[in-house]
Amino acid sequence: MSGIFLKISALFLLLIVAAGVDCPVWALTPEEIMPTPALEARAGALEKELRCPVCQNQSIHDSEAVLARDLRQVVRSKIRDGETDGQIKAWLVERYGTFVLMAPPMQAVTLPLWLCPVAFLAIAGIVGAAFFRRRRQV
Amino acid sequence: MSTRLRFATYALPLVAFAFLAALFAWRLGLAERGMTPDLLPSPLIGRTVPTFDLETIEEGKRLTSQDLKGKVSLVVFFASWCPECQIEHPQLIELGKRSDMTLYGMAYKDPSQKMAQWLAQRGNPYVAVGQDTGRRVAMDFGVYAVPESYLIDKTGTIRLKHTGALTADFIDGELLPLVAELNR
Amino acid sequence: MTAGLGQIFLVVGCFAALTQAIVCFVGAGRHSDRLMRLGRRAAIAQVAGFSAAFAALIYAYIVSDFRLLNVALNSHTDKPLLYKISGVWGNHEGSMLLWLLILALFGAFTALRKAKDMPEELRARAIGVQGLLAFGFALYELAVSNPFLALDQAPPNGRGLNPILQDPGLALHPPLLYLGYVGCSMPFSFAVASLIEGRKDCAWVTASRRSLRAAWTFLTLGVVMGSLWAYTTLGWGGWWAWDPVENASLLPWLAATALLHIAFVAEKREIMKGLAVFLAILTFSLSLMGTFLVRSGALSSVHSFATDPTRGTFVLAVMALATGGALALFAWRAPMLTNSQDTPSFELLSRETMMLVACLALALALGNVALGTLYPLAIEAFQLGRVTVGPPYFNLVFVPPILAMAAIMGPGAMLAWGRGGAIILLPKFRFASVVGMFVALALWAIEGSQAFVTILAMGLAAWLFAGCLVDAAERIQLGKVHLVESLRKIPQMSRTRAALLLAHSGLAVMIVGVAGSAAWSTDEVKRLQTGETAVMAGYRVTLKSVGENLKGPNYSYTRGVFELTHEDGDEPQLALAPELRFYDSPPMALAHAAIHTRWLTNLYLVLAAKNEGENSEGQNLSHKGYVVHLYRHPLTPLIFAGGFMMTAGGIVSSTRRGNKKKKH
Repeated sequence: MSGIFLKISALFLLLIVAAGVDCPVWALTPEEIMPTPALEARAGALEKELRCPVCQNQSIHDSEAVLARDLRQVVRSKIRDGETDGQIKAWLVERYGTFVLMAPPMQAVTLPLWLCPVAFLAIAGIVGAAFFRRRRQV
Repeated sequence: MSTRLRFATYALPLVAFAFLAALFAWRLGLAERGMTPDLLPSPLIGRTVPTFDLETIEEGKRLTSQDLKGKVSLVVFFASWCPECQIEHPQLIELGKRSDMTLYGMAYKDPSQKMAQWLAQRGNPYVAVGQDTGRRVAMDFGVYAVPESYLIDKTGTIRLKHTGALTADFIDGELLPLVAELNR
Repeated sequence: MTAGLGQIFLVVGCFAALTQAIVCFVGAGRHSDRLMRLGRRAAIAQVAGFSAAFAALIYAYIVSDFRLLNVALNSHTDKPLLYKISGVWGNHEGSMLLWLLILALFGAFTALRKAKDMPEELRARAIGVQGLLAFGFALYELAVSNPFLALDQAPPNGRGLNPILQDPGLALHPPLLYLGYVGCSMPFSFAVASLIEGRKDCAWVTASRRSLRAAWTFLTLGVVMGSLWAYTTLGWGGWWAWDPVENASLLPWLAATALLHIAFVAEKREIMKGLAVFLAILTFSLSLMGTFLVRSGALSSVHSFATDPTRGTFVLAVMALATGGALALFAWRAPMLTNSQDTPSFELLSRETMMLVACLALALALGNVALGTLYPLAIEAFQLGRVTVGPPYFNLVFVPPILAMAAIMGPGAMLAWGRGGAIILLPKFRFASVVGMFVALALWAIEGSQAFVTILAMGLAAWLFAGCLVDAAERIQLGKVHLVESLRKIPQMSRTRAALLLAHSGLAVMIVGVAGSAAWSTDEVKRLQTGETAVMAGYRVTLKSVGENLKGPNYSYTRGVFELTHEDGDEPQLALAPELRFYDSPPMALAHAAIHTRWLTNLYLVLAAKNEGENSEGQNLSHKGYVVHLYRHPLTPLIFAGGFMMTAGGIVSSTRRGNKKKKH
């Protein structure tokens, strides 16, 4: 049963210690802020689409792990160098696998994920119709 | 709707649940064998080691990806502040004595002096320890936790990755057999 | 000593649960009043045993008895008393004990009630099922998650509780949620008892109605409070992350909501009885599944307890027996629950249809969330690699069914049983439609077609809310009689109807909040040094002063005092003081946002990091200062207000006395 017991990666990964747990929080450091608000918005948006491999249900934008900060710096310097979102994502996937993408890509292995909701809808329709037909005719 | 079909419909939830329970049991079985959900499969297995050229924790020396070629090497990302690294260190000392593999270390978020001190106190199994300032090399390797170990063959291809402290099971069961194979 | 006593009480409770089960089933089978009464007494013994065990654990935490392994791992003498106590359920073993206690409490409550509205055998068998459940989990607790394990030597101090959990809201959160989850065991037990007896009526619904409504209310409140806590405390401005464990709390809620409504239909109209039974089984099974997922290590989550596959296997076994057994019974007996010849029929356009369609919409939402949550597990089980499913997917598959449900809720409440073709002529229908369309069109004009989902959501929410308002106005005869008369009619309104109006309008309010905050939230980040001013989100933000290394109760913190002046100058100046808190045991840091609410908009100011000119690796950093985020969250307070309104609806529905059958 769940309470919402948040264990930040530090506690959960006691066995496999993620870097920097004993250091102060470094979310966005002053270093990282982009020169223009538009670039900052783009960086933020891209970061929200990328999963932190350490705090595995947070994006690198929200996560406070050191790896998340490192990856944010990489993303931001690549944006400054003019790379596209696709290129940046490919760089990350090359090193961390498709796990690092928040939205599962359209691959064979994720196809059921996209097809099942449709199937559920069809089943719901059939069930509803069956219920309706079974009622006694007035 | 025929009676049989109706009865079958009522049994569907039970069947679906049976599948789900089997799925959970299977997943638990995997977890008991050490494959917990937080471990990520590495996309670098079977690929060439990332190119790097780093200072080491010793003055004046360098460690490059070229140094890994021609021998079976174990590259270990670790840090002095990491308790798991302390736990696995004795195993690494033993591995360092072997002639069929060479150990290289990578300091992860750890100043050179601190690292050198730590190794001086506990023994140094590493031929060289790279100082990965900025952790770019770690990112190229796909490191997401410490300690992490990578086994690299003579051609410079990554063959095995282990996240977390090296265990006797892993060393005897997977690492050493593969090292023997790679040395043939 | 505490360890020994606690253990004994736990065993007493376990034994009482088994006795309860056996005696109740035998007693019901033999129609023996004596045995059934004995079974009820066993239920009291069970609750006494678990209460005493729980009290022993609380005592151990209060006095910091570190000889108990559980206390040593999770507590610390520095912790304030409130959090020492809440630490009892801040870990796996203690929370499981609380789980057990609540299971026992619900059983005892059912055992002690006057049985006017339920046949004795049914009640006995239901308590029997409850006893079996308790026995299974008590065994689990004793065998692999015993909170009373003792160390040979007590360490000087404990390891401390996660600092994030040291928050008053969060101290309450688990008990509330557990009351919700475990409360769903009562409808489950009654439904199973009804299946065992081969009953064709809905006595089980009547018998468990109170428990179900109470459980639903607690569950709603628990989820909302968890979300509110995340928003106010975690400093990232989010309130729902689609984390697997969060989803594990949402799934039973969705099922319980469907159950609440279909059980109502089944009781009133004697149709959909099989569906109601199935939903009762499903709801508690989802609670069990949630327990399994959180404690077994089958899923990775920020929320999970320390993972342990052995524990997981045990929970899975209990779950397999409970759910599997119930579903097997269902497969065998439910076909008999067909409608009798006297069942009134219903047209396509009727309340029954609307309730069914709404239930199907909830089922779709439930199925999709369950799919997204369990899919990674399935992929890993088949060793096809690693897939993760994140918020973009969940938002995509959750929102449409919920919006469909919102669209149906309005007409559903307005239609009559059986037939309702004339609904279009009803004044309240027309009024609500006009309001809904007006809102949608106005938004379309302002935002344009790309905000399609927002427009749809707002229009539907407005429709729903307006419909509830007019319905309420009609019932208190607003405008037709004197205002005072109307006001006096409010408490006289049928409880069910009042609950409906509160809960449905609460959902409408929540939808407005979610849609608004999703569509119009902004986030700006700047770097400031003391004395500097920056323009963010239409405000001139000045960092007046920073206090560092300040001492809190069990943390040290950095506090920034900011002054915010709106650029247009038409608002009073704001002083906000967000903090960055550093905890000791275990070492951790948390950003504590300063939130200011003005006219349904939240300003959310976060002090994210400080920079001393050199990082920990000795590198020089060129920019000094503090990183400051200013989020603007319009309509976000409505998310939580709506949640509280729904809870209020649940409370009203639970306070109904007796079993008056009113026509509405």
